[in-house]
Amino acid sequence: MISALVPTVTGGERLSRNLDSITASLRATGEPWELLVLNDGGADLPAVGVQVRVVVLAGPRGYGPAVNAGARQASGGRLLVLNDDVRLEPAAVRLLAEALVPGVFAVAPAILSPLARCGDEGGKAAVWRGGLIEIEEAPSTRVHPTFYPVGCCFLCPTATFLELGGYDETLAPYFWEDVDLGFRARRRGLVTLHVPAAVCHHEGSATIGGRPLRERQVTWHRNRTLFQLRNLRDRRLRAASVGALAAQALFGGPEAAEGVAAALRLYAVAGPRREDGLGDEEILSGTGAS
Amino acid sequence: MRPSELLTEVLRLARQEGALEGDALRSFAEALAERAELIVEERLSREQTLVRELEWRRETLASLEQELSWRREAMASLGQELSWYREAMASLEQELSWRREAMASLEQQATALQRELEWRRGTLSSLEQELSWRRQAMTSLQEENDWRRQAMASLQEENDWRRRVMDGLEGELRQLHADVQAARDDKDAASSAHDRLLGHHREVLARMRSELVSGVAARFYRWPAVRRRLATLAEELRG
Repeated sequence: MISALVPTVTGGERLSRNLDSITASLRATGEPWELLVLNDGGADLPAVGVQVRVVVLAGPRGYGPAVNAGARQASGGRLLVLNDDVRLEPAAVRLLAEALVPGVFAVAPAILSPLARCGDEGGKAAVWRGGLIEIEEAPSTRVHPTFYPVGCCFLCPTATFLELGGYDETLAPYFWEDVDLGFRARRRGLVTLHVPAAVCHHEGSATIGGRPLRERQVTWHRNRTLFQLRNLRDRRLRAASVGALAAQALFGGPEAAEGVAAALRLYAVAGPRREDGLGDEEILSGTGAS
Repeated sequence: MRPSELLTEVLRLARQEGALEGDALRSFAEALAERAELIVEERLSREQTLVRELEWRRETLASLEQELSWRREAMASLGQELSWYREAMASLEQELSWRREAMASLEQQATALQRELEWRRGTLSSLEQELSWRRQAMTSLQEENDWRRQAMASLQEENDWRRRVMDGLEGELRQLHADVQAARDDKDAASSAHDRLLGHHREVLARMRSELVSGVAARFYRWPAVRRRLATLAEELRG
């Protein structure tokens, strides 16, 4: 069974536009499925159809906590995680399900979006530059490893998602939680694949785009910093990361400084991750990192 | 948090991480330099973009000021033109007032004509309905007339036939009268003959009775003579 999870905050109109394409794509797999709309904060939603279950969550707490709550309630062996502004092509879920083989943590489709320079947000590569991991687009027409499953659409085994602890809720409400999830999976030797034949359409930052620009910039810097401090374990890379933070403290703008400061406070509580597995260099080199 | 405080925190972390010692310090310093360069380049790029935009805005402003000057001149001439237009407008407004009155009168006439037209249309419609009805009636009358003519012709033919029959019957009647007269004459003649024959028979019978009476009384030797007379009388009756 496939359990589709669609977190939403105030996405009533987007759900009305897109849910039909999701149910059609799920139906096209020929497998049992369920669709959970995760109403993060309990805002009023339009009628979503009899085959859709609405799970009302206190909050809003953000994308990661909403998906985690949905994963815990899911009945299916696989999770199809979606944003509420995503429309699926009919064959998308079937193609993703076919590509999800043992050893693969997650599969992500071609995510056609106005946010992507190359037009496809689905393929991502990590680039080590100036002491920080930077994310770049990695377009392809063939199935290939990607750095992480972009949160707006991917399919993964429910058990693996839960074993990894789901999304890191420290990163709530948004940004970098999907990078963090993919990195932790890769640490365990699991890969994420980009499957360009499966296609979804992403309206683009429908929920986050409504937040103030400064809030988004601060959150983005906070979560990138926290992601690196918690996940990198190579001494040389960690030293370089701290060097990059020093540069940001000296030369970065006020949003970057505020983000880094917030990340340091969170890191003081959360600390580094201790899971065994692949080394940082191996993780980064497997996804086009330089 | 001020930048200096943040830097202090970062350096504290660096010490915790051992980033300021040995090979790590090299990584720390290189990353700091590279990241600083990236940040500065990015900020410089943003600043350059802002400068280009500012220069573009200055040029735009200069051209807008020129345009503003031209527009002021144009405004002055337009003001003169506006004054002329106002005078023309006042005249036109007077004319407009007169035309409005004329228009109101024409509209009243038009309304009256419209009503009359509607009434005439109604009348015409009634007349057309009547005409239609009359045409239908005329057709019916025509058909009735044709039928009556046919009936008249039939009656005429019947009349002629009846006259001919009457003439025949009158001829037959005259013939019957003649026949009746002839029958009467025959009857009269027959009655007369009968009467005469009856008188004759009565006389013969009277004679025969007297013969019989005399014969009864006569002697037997006379009876043959009586028988012969009676035979003669019987022969008379037979004749």
